[in-house]
Amino acid sequence: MDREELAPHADELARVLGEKADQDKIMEELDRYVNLYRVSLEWAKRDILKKMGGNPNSVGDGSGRKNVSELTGAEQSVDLLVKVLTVNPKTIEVGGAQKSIVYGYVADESGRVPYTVWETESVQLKEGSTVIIRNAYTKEYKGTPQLNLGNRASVEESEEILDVASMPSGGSAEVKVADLAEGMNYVVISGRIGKPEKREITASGEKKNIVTGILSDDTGSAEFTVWKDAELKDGDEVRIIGAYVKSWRGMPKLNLGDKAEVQVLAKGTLGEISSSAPKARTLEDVEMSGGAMDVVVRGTLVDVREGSGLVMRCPDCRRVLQKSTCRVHGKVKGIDDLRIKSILDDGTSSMSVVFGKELTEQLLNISIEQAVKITTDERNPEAVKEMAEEKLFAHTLEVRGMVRSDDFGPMLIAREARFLEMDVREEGAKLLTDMEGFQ
Amino acid sequence: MMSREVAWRVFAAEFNSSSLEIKGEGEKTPSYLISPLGAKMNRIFVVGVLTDNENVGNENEPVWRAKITDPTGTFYMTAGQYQPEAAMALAKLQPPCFVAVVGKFRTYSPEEGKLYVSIRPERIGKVEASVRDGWVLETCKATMDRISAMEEAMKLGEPTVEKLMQIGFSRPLAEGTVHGLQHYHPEDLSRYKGMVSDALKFLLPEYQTGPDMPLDAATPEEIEVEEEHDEVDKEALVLSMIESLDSGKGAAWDEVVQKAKSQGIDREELDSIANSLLDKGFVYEPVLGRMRKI
Repeated sequence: MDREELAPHADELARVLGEKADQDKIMEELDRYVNLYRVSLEWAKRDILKKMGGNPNSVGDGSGRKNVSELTGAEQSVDLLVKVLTVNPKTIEVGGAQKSIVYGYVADESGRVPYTVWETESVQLKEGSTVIIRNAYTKEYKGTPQLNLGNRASVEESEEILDVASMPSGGSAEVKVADLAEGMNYVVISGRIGKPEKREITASGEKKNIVTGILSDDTGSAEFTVWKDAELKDGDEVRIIGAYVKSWRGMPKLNLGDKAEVQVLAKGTLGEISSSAPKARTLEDVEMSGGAMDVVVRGTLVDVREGSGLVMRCPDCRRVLQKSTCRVHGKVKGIDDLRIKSILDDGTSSMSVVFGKELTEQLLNISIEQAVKITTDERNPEAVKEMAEEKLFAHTLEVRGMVRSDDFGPMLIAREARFLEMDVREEGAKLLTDMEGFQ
Repeated sequence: MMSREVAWRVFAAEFNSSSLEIKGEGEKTPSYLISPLGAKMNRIFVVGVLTDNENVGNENEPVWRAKITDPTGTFYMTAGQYQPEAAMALAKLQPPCFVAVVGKFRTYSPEEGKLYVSIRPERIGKVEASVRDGWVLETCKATMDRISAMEEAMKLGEPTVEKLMQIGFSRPLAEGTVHGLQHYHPEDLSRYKGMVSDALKFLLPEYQTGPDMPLDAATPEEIEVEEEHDEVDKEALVLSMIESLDSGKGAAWDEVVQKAKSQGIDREELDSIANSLLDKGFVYEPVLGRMRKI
């Protein structure tokens, strides 16, 4: 390797050594180790550091070392110097066998990242310690990188101690309901309690009181479970510290374990969180959280899908009939129903949206009786679907409802819907005025 | 689970200037068309005026070719046997009318370095003028977002997807911007800003500043009002001429010129009135040399 190639590595060593460094000497040593003695670059750097009074663990091979914020989610082998914020053991089932893993968060000054240890025999992490992780890999999950420590990974305690705030105290900022996503830990969140309900459950043979309910803020609502007894009243304004999030069908749910804390705030602290609709969110944002109990979105209806319009349902199980036949109850006398299955697209993402009977009647401005009559008169089973295409395609709607995810992706089940009339002239004039600024 | 591709809102001028296609490898990976402003399109949503609609196939195997204009240019569209719903919808439509289209891009490269783009429609529907206006506004906003992403990327020394996402742009836009910057090497985006501002003025005709506004008139307000009146009246007059001279294929331009002259409107003035009518979307040119009321 010539001196030009060695230069960045010499610089790295100089940085680590700080004032102890003599740039020329480092270069000379590096050249000697690598070119004369043919020592590998990584070992050369470690040895030189040790010799000059630095910490040999603070350099990698120069290719795999990254800060947390630099992780992309596509690293096949990466080294990090991080503080271990949380360590949670867990047993999962892999191919029918029980397997122990450990998950949590690690962080450096640039940010924090969730991790999973897949080989708990060879890799052990201690909460609060600063470690050098080598040969980890990353994957992307919902747009954020996840760190994985597989069988190639190794971990050693670092002498350098990273001063990263631990998470439960000042470490994590408060989040909103709309920010909640599967796997979040040490969540700090404020909101109003709705429908609190005490329940008795039996966990590992013991009776236990838990409390369930709904937490709402100006971005939406989420179900919560306090896994111990707690005194919560309807309408209480609270600050929750240290909850974790698990999703059910994509809908994030707050869980308050042993370490979580609930502070009841003075009435009115949180201002007006009325029962009115939450703020509108982009579809991309909703898709990222995987689901939501109560969400408002705006978008263009770009498709009316098969199965929309007038359908017949089984009187016993409400399944939609095919040729007057229920796939469970056989030939039955069906009940008329209306629905629209559609795709809403707001330019950031798209989502399936289902409108039930009442909303279909409202949007198409017909009653179900009229729908039946039109279908019969025209002898066209698709008549109502065609009507929906004509009235809804390319129109902008505001829809409120619940979003849940399954194998087919997220789906919004509408509760309220209306055509959105944009004030094109006013908004256009505003945009034009804004633009003059840079023209 | 494969998620559905989002429908990008782009103007014809930006769409048609696209010359970078990223082909998906294998069956399941989608292809993308990257616009000069970094739109990473697989699917697009457009609303405009259907100005031409022709079956270039035959009775049994129809292939419909159509043109849709927006304030910046024309989208070209073809629907054949693999787009039965769209082809059927096109067969029923009588131009001119406002239509909304959701479709995928398709490309044609007759020679190395040349790429022609068009739309393969999935769904077409007739809409009202208000839907078109809403689309123009939304597309202006989306275009401005892309312009600002591109400007940020041009400021960065080595723009990467991660850096752009840190600034706050979505992943698809950040990816498209990085691809776009590498391929098109834009130096000046003023052309696109001009396009957006023209499109906005299309929605807001009163913001359009004519070339010969009286600057130093004694009582500018009165004169302006009068001029405005005059302009509008003459536009209405020319519009009615075009309508009356139209025997189905549009009014021949030469006849319009003759008729206007007889009414005291000279050629130069007629040109500017016709341009204004075209801009406002009152008339269009079905073929060169003919004009038709929309």
